[in-house]
Amino acid sequence: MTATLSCPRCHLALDPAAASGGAEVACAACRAVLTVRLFPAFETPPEAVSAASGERALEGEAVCFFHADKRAAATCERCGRFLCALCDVPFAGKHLCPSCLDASKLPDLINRRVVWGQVAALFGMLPLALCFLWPFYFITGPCAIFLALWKWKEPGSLVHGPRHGLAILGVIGGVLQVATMIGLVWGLIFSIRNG
Amino acid sequence: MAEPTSNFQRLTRNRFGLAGTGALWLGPDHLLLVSNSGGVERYRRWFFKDIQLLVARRTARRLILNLIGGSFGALLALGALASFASAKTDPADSPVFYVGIVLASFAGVCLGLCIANSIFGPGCIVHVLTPMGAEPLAAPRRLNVFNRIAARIGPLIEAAQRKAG
Repeated sequence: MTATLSCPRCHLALDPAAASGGAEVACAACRAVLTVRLFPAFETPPEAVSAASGERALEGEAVCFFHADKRAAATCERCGRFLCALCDVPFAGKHLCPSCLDASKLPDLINRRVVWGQVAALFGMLPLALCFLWPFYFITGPCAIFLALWKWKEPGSLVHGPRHGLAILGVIGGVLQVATMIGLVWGLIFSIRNG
Repeated sequence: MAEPTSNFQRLTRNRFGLAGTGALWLGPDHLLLVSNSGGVERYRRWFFKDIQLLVARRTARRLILNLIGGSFGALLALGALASFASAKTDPADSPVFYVGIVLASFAGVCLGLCIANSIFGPGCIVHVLTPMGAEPLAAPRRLNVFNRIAARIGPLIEAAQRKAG
């Protein structure tokens, strides 16, 4: 069974043969000009896996850890359990069982991460750039310094790595904000004392 | 666990939007879309073995940007011409003459942006089809960039699918 090629705009089915080779095709309905790049998985999509998947084990054969009646087709590369076709989860070039996949902290599974260095830089530099935020310097300045130092060893961006440069920028911004507020308070006290 | 920081190669530059930035990266066996908003990165992956096709639909982005930039440039150029015309009796002493120079400079910037926009090529919206369905890719937004990326990742995807098959 092959997948279907349809126009992303009007969803009209298109002829994959006309689109092969990276040629431009025009949708007959909406006239959208499409550049299509087909891959072998388009012609042969992966077979659907269901609870009925996997062969029944014969007497003396290794069976799946999770399904005692199914023949083992693979071994989990983390825990070593035998797995049937249903329980074998090919992921990032490895064969894993569902429980190992669930418990693992693989970088390939992370879908969200806070980049604390960037947050510290935002707290440190944004109020300085937007000068009208000066009444908040007492909060944002210490926050920037605290976040930069507290989260210094936290893993950074998945693609950029730990961004210590941004954390340092946050510390500099935070120190400048605190210094500004101390200067303002000192100036206020000085002016009150001298009438 | 050691992170594959060095295993990622940038495919597109950061694209700025209302919700933050987005860029496409090439991983060892997948495409990674990184969306960043206010210090929080979100990751979306498409594994090579799952990608069935990439389709880019041409958009009128280049035309629209050229129309907007050209209109602004034309208005600024008209303003500059009017300033020069009114100040031509004694250009050196007239402040209107300098206003004209500033307007002409901005018109030149608009013209430059229109030329750059034309060189970057037509705009597009890219969709990737996997067994989970078609999903739009936030980047790339230019057909030239899409063709360059497709030429780069195409052989990698085909090799991964031959290996899996």
